[in-house]
Amino acid sequence: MEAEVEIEKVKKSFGPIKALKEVSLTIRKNEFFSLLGPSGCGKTTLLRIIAGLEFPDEGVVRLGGRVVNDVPPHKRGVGLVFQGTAVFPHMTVYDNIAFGLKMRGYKKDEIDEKIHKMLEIMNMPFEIYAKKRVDQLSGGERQRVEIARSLIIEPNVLLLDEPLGPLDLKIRQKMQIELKRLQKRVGTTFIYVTHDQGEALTMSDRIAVMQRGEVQQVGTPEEIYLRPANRFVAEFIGETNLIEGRVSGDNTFAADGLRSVILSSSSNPENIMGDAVLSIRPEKILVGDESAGLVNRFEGVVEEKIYMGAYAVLKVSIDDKMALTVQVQPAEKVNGIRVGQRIQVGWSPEDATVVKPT
Amino acid sequence: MSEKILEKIRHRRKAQLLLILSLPLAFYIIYFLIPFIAAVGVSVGLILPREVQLQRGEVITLRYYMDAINPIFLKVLGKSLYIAVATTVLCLVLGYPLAYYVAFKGGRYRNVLILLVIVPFWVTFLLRAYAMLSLLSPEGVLNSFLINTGIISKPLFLIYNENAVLLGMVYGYLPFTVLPLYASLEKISRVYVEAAKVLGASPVRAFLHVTLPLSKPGLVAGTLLTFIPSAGEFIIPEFLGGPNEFFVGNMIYSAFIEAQNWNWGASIATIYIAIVIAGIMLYLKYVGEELRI
Repeated sequence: MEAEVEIEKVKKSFGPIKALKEVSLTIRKNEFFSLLGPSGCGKTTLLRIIAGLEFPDEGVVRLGGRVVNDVPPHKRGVGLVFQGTAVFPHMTVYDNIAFGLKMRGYKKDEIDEKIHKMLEIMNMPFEIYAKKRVDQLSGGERQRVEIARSLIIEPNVLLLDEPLGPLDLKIRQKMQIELKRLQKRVGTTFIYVTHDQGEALTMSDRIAVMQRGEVQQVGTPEEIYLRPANRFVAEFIGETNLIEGRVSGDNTFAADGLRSVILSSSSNPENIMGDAVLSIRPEKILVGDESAGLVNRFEGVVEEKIYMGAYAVLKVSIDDKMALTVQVQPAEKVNGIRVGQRIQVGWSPEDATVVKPT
Repeated sequence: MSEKILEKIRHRRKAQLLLILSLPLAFYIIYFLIPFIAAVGVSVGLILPREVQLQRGEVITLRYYMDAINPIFLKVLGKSLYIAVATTVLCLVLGYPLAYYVAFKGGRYRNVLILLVIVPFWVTFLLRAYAMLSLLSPEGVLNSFLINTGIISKPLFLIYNENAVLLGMVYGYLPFTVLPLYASLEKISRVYVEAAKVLGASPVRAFLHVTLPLSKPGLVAGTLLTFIPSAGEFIIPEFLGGPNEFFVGNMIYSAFIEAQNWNWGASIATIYIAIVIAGIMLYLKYVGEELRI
């Protein structure tokens, strides 16, 4: 796969704050790549470095094979959709979208034609939207205008900085699907910054999970969800149960006061020995009769039962040593279960992952 | 039923609004509107008619206007408008970069820097005009310095000309240009400029297409706040202009105070105000179109 953006040992500090400690990443042509992490992890800084709005202290940035460390933003030809929105408030929809083309010296009829096409892609009829002022648009429409404005210059890379942040949940979910579809349609490389793991999992081809200026893991959504590289990734992506303990040579995991847990060969991809953390996703834990026959089976007491609509959550305490969160789907399965009741829980060896304790 | 209640609420809202506005409204009527109407009344002889007018038995007359419009007045009028325009243009040329750099590059010193712009307001305008005089006069600070350092042997004659008036006006009115400009520039999000750059605009074009139009409200407010008072200015010409530099403000002053001819003074004041208002309306019509930012 051809590389579109290459980040090589990039470092960036703002005064005493190390925003990026030493980041290396390769983003492939035409992929939907997400930078995921909590606020302050350096994801936006990295995006701004790719756009040319910040310059790295050390390291190399390549766009399409060309080193761009000293190239100012207006000569990079990337698109950038800002957090919140940055549609120009003093211009109409038409003038906003035409801006990049005008800067490139396109002629009026060419611009007209391109905007017609672009608004069609964006599902915004030209006749209705072109002459509208920005303050007459809804949040979702502004977002689409900004994306259109960035895409019309046909950038090789479109950078998106939490573009859906300010939108309502419903519109956000709709826009997630729309964005993914759009990316497939135009074939542009998307680099998408978000702190919302659900969003990243839904849309991305690959995800880089970042924390404190460092990349923790790069992988497909499935790899990251099922095989987190460390404790941070396991905790940050989705819900999980983390059990601190030790891995022994015979592929078992022992936690304080708990019968040893059997691991499968795929549970420990990094071959960690000694101190470790075991991560088990709540939906991978089976309860009652369904857990019969599983090698890792424990008895516990139901402490809480929460109805979530599509599923139910049980909090199960095992010998007062360990609390497990279990997700049961459909929710009706827990109808017969009472709080305080003793219950069997279990999971298959391959459904648990051993990660480094830090 | 519910409509009656709504009607009641509407009435109450109106009453409240009137109550809140009554004081400022009263102030404006007493100190602004009535004197202005009175001035117009005096200018047509309806109020305080002169002896001659009474002898002719005229209740209202345009005679004072006809007397006022003479070549000397027209020359003074042209000069006043020219100086007001020149002051405004110079204030914008000097003030825009100042406001721009404080707003965008001032960082955490922004408030201190903008305070420095306001500091001259702590001293009364009259005193500042006087300070200018003592700075530039033949025995003034600047000339003594230049003579003492041996750069010149005879004092330069820096006051009592048009340039001195212009300098004094720019000095006096620059803060009126800078403050609204700053207020408007400071509100412009950096993100717009960055967006323009990423879309392919060089820094200069990003400024011309984004920052400049977005600062338009401040530009318009700054222009008006500078132009209007400088058009009627008479303290600075009085101090720095000397007897040769005679502006409309001075003419009105001497008509009222020295000649004691209020009808004449009121008529030139009315003409001048009408011209300034017409100019401002034209200006707003031309630039104000996209002002709803």
